[in-house]
Amino acid sequence: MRKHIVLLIISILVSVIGMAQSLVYTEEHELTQLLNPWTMLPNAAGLGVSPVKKHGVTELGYDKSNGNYHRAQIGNDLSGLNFYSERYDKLSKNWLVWGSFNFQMNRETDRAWSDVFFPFNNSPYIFGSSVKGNYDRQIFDLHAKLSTVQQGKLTWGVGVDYTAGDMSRLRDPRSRTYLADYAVVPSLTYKLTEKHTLGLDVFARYQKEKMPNANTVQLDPTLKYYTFFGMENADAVIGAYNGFQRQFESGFYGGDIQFGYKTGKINWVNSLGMEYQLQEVSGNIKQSPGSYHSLNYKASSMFRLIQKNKLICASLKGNYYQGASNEFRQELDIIPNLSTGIASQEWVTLYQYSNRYITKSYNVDLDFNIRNLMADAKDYSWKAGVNLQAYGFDNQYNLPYSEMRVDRLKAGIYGHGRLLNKKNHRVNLDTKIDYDLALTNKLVLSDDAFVTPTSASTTFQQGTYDIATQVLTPDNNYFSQNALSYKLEASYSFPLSFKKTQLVGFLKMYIKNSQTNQNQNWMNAGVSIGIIPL
Amino acid sequence: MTKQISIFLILLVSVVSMVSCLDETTPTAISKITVQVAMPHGIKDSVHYANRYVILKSNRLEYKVLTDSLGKAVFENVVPDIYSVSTSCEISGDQYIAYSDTVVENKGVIFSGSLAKEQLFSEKTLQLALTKSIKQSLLISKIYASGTKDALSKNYTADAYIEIFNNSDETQYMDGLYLGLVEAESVIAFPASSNPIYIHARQIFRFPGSGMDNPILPGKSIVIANSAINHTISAPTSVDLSTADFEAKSTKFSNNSNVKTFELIYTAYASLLYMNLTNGGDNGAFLFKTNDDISTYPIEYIPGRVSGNRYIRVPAETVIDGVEVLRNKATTGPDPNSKRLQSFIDAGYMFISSISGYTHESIDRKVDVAKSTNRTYLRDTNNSQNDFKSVTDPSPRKYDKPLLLE
Repeated sequence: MRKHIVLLIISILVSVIGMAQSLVYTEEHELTQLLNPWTMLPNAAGLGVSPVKKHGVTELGYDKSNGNYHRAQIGNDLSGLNFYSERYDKLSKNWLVWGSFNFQMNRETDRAWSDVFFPFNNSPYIFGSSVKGNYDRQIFDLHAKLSTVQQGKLTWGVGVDYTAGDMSRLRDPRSRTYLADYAVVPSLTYKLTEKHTLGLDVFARYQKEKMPNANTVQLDPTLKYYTFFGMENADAVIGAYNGFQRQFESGFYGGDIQFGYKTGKINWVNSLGMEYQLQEVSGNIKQSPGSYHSLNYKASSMFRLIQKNKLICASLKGNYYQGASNEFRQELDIIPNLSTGIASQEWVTLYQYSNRYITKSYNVDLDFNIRNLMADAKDYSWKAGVNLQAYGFDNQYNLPYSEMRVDRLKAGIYGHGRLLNKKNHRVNLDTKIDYDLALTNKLVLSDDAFVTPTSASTTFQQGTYDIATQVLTPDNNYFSQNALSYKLEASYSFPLSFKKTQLVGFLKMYIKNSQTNQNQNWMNAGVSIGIIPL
Repeated sequence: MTKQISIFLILLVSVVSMVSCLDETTPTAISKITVQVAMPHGIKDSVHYANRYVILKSNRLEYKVLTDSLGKAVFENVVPDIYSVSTSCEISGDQYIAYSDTVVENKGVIFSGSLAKEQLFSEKTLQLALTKSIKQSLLISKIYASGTKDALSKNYTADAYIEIFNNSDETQYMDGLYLGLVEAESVIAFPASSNPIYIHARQIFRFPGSGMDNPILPGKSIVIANSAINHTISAPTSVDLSTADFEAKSTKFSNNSNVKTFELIYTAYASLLYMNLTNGGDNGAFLFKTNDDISTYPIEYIPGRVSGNRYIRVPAETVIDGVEVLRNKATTGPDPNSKRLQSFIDAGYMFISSISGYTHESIDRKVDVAKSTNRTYLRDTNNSQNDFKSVTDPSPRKYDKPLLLE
């Protein structure tokens, strides 16, 4: 923890270092990224394609969400702090650098059925309790990119990502989950012509989520702990948190190729990539419910056009994700040594059900907006835009067959206007309204899933019934609803003096509410303060 | 320019073509599993196990199929898994005489057979050999070992008990009978598969009396406790054992001087003078009758060892009734390979849902509803998976719970 606090302080200091020059307001920071789409890609060498003015942003916020419109594996209330800091800088004549640091510390209230970080449309091997409890979560997320400036036709770069997470359940069984995620992303760009640039990045990423033994004061001796195998299939064993340990180890490998086109008015960057994941799930002495692998295809296209004083931005981003688990049927082999009387134990995989669980998901996001530029493209007075998003998933378990499929379409409009601009004191108002429509909502469970278990039922039959009735059925209801959401955000930015140094400070407040056609709602509100040093 | 875009497109197509979508071939069911049931030794060749149910059971699924006229059961579209295979049926004394190839007593008989942990991952034909056992008068009807929590939520273990029921129509006497608890090493030391004619016991107790001192009337039962007191005073979810018939006296628990002593004959653990019923299992128990001098039975170390716990070897043929109670495991459930009782004593096994106990779970024998018109008869198919249920409200001498009447 102390190490992380030191990192946090260093990050703040790094942001504050390097002052002078003209002030950068939030609008200029936003426009800087928009007009340099390469900076929004994982390709670190993209920094060299369109160098960005030295500056940084540091923001500290508090968010709170609550309501009853949420999935069964999400809590009723989420609140916490969020610290974010990023900086664009130049290390020397030939080296450009960007770094970001994000720290989240939040508490989720009344959450159940999942003690893991990634419960949805991912590895089916989830562990959790049916008893609702509070979860404390801390996530440290560091990213850095280093790039050469353009050297002839080439730029070279490397990105490094590091994420550490910790999630603790505050009620019996008191599980704790640790997350570590490291990646290195070497990259390059090649200038074909003055207008055309090609880019390439490859990456290797290692992720480990570890759940050691759960602690408990065990006030309830009938407390069950659940092992999920995909869809409704689960094992519910009383006291199974005792001696429990599990770790998920994933290797991710992949890359992206980019193609950029830039003229005086147009900046258009396209990216296509894929990622392969291989995950091993293991417990004590090679005990494992199965393995998981996935492919994620990603594509994005970012188009910017400056026409007179108008900036037109269009972006299309999408991904298609396919994952599958191979479930294992294992047996514990006990081999006694007759000379010593000591027995050795080993889990042996007797059978593998290939692709027993298959998950597919997609997300396509089309965004179009227009800004009224001012002050040499460093500011804008208003913005208006539309957004269209299609997303969904299809989770399927085989033998016996069960399936959950969801397709949704979300359409929204948004705008930004300046209410006040006086002596560099700016007040802006942002608003957004969208409608999230259920297109497909299908849930087919196996015949046995709704058979009420008796005390003679197996732990698997009991677990399966509980997940069918208390997780998937409520989720099915969640996805059957259409939701109307609106968001209102007010921001105030102002010049600030800090030991003879001028910088920009800002304050933001927002409120968002989603209301469904079944009278459920989810409300978010937050406030944040920040600075933009040079 | 065209050339450069072409290079980009070639690169793009190359990358995309190198990766194809994930293989989505799903697992398939086994088209056919055949179980050929063979009648036990001593039954005429012309008699087949016809029109009886054979059950395939995994932790997830259960299939039930009737045998044909030749005793063959065919299961179709079976999900690959590890299954237990079992069947049992009861025949009358007259049928037993008619089926036998020798002269036999006119007594009801149970045919039963089971295969534990059959790995059914592809088409297969299994041979299931039946054993026969004469229907017994005395049955172990309840084993309560899990313990519970007391009023302060602390573990409470003093309330364990075993109940024995007279399932016959005649008064039975407990005098001189023995009750054994099977070996319960965490790594099984004496599996039934390696010991077809002996059971290794961790403890043996004897019922006192000289012949007719301890009768059980038809349809009635006796209760054996470690501590014959009312445990509900300390632990509300526990049981009142103040009316128990026998007590394994020890200094560990409060004793009731009005209750007869359950005599300890052998214990593998010198300090344990009470019934060593463990909270999670294994708690296999067997009732047996012998005129042998028990002190002459061999006492053996775990194979391969020359020190540690020693277990007394009891001939399996002396057993009147036995119930296999296995430890439930978090990751795999109970392990049928750790059965200590032979299939002719108990073709199946029972377990409680908890892996560590303190859940006030009891293993109770179900009622033979069809037969229980004037009095209670308990089910006895020689397979505890068919005959017992795990219940969470232990209650001595009580057999009218809905769960036991299913």
